[in-house]
Amino acid sequence: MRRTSVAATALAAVTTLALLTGCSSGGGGAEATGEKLTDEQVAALGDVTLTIASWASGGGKDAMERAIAAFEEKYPNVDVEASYKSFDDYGKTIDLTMQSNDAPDIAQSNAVMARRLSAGKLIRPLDDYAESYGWADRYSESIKGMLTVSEDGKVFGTGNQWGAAPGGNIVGVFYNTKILADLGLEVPADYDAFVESMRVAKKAGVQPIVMGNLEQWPSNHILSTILSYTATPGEVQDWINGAGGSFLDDGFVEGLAELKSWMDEGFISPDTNGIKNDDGNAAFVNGEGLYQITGNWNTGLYAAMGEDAGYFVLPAPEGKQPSTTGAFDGALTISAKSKNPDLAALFLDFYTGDEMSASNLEGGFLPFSAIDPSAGSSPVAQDVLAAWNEMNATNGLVGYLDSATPSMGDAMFPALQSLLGGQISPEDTAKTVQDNWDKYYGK
Amino acid sequence: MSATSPRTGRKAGASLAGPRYLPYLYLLPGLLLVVAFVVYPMLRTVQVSFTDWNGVLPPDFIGVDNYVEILTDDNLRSLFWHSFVLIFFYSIVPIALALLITAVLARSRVRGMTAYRAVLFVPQALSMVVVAIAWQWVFASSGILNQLLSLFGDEVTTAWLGSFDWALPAVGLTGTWRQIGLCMVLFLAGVQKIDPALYEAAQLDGANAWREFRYVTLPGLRAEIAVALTLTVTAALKSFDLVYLMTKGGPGTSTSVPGYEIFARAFNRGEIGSAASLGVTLTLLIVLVAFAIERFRKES
Repeated sequence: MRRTSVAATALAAVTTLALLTGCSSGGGGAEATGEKLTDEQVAALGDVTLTIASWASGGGKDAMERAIAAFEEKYPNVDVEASYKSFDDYGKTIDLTMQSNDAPDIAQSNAVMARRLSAGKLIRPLDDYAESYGWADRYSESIKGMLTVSEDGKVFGTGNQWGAAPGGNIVGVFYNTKILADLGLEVPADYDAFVESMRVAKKAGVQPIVMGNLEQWPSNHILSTILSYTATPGEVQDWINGAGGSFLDDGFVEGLAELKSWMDEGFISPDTNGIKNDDGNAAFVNGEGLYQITGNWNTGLYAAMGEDAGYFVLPAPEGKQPSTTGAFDGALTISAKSKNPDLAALFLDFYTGDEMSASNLEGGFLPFSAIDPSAGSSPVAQDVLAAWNEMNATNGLVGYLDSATPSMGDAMFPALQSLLGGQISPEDTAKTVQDNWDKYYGK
Repeated sequence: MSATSPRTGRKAGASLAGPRYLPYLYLLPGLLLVVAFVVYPMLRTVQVSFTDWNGVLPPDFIGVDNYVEILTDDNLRSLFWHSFVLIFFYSIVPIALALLITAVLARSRVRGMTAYRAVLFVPQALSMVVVAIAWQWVFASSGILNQLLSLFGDEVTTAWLGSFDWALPAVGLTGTWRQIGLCMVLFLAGVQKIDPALYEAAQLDGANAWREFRYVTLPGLRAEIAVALTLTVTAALKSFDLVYLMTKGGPGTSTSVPGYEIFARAFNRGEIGSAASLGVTLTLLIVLVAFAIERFRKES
């Protein structure tokens, strides 16, 4: 007994000492002002360390490292330490990491994580920084909404800004320019022309869309692009944000029926549910299909086609504005426990700002600070950039359907496979999806 | 692992080894590890299974609601049904085939036996990721399976893993291929310890191959069959990796199993409470089945 109590006393003493020194060491414990830091203020902080937790890998990680190096060079007294995990591991551990007492100052987050982190008060609202750094001008209305969440972490588009993002991504129609020309077709100008072009391709023995849907999620990107037109972008975004609406509404069920009709007409490969997504992409690159509806993350893959690959946003029906699926990517948040929130905000501003946008583009992000399409590294990448700039300028981006609730992907993706496989009707699909939504939002 | 031999009396042992509690002290390190990493997490899982918890906010105690859901949800019941279908492919088929191979090999001396055994065991030794990706290719529209089928007539281009009827058997067959080596190694080892005199006697009595198998090999392998059953049935019930890697439970939910659902709930959807209750249910089911198989073995 005596030994234990001695040990306990010693431990307590050491802990107290550590806490005391922790509080008094230079740079630690700066109060949040919400103001933009000047260079002098940063220098006055003395030697200080910022920690970042991120799931970046490959090009994204390189871009993060470039930003860190440039930041450290600009502010020599600041040491930025980033730790990386794979996306899967990161998503499973970030809640615990942010609860710990040595939580990182800055943590990457997507919409699903942001809900939990905001509701748990583990991250700090960024509205004061958004104001002082002028981040509002950087994002279009729809993107700003996605980066804002209610205090209970449930409804997007209302409440506090939770993150700042270096760039985003966009879903649209990749097409084989050569096949399109061989079929004697122009790039479709409206929705009907697009559907007609698939009919022409089918008749000529060319697979119109070569999507592999074995992984369950790919087909949701086709659905979401169609939905912007069968419903309105506003309705879809409200539904995703949790603000209202229902998948059982006419526009949504019509979208599902339209998707199914693409399947029935053979526009989508009849074996799509059994084809690996990679194999579908490989088929597109090999010229075995006219279109591929997917996101810009595949641009690098299609760049191998050179001049043969192009990109456009799914054309709008007559009388409607072009719009498509897209969102922010790689947003950073500031921990509620950060001892240097002002400095963390300065890093966020630096990483997401103009200075790093070329570097972020190279890292696979489509930067929010407008960038000239000629910066694209391939013909198809230039098409994507041009469409991205236009969609941001016209507020045409609508978020991803599966970010509507934390479990939406698990509910929606299998249901879409069943819809495409002819197992369930568009109405039943809508019901499965809406049941999940109702359960989460307690409607 | 006590140092005292069974023949020495308790008193003598105690005086030799020191105080009576000493043996327990030797057990302590192992016991602590088991308690910390097995018993404690298990009890915690049971505790969490009575809550609604997203992993961040404080858990809400909701009593047995999670368990009521498991008993009443039709979708969940279909997942358990898929597991039972997998038992057929993971357990029944491999054991039957392995017995056949064993019976054939036991009757005749085959040259290069070790090599055959090694080759048949390879699937067991391969990483599950490799197995899953290889079989995805086998079952693809232009895969080997379809190329073979096309030899017998019209061209076949079915993407088996995308078919609502065939995806589950396809995943199951991959499991068969994997488990067969394990069963065979067990049975071949078991056959060696059967007295060759028994075979000789059977042959002298004019027993044909079937009777020899039925009355000599099969009874001699009872213990091994029980072990193989326990291992493969457990593997079928807790199956997760093949489903996760090959189909993600699809198309629709036609290949989803409880193991995959637990993972999806806990890690994709942040429904830790209901995932825990499903985990507890699955564990109980597996223990129950293993127990039943043990009874079958002892009844010999």
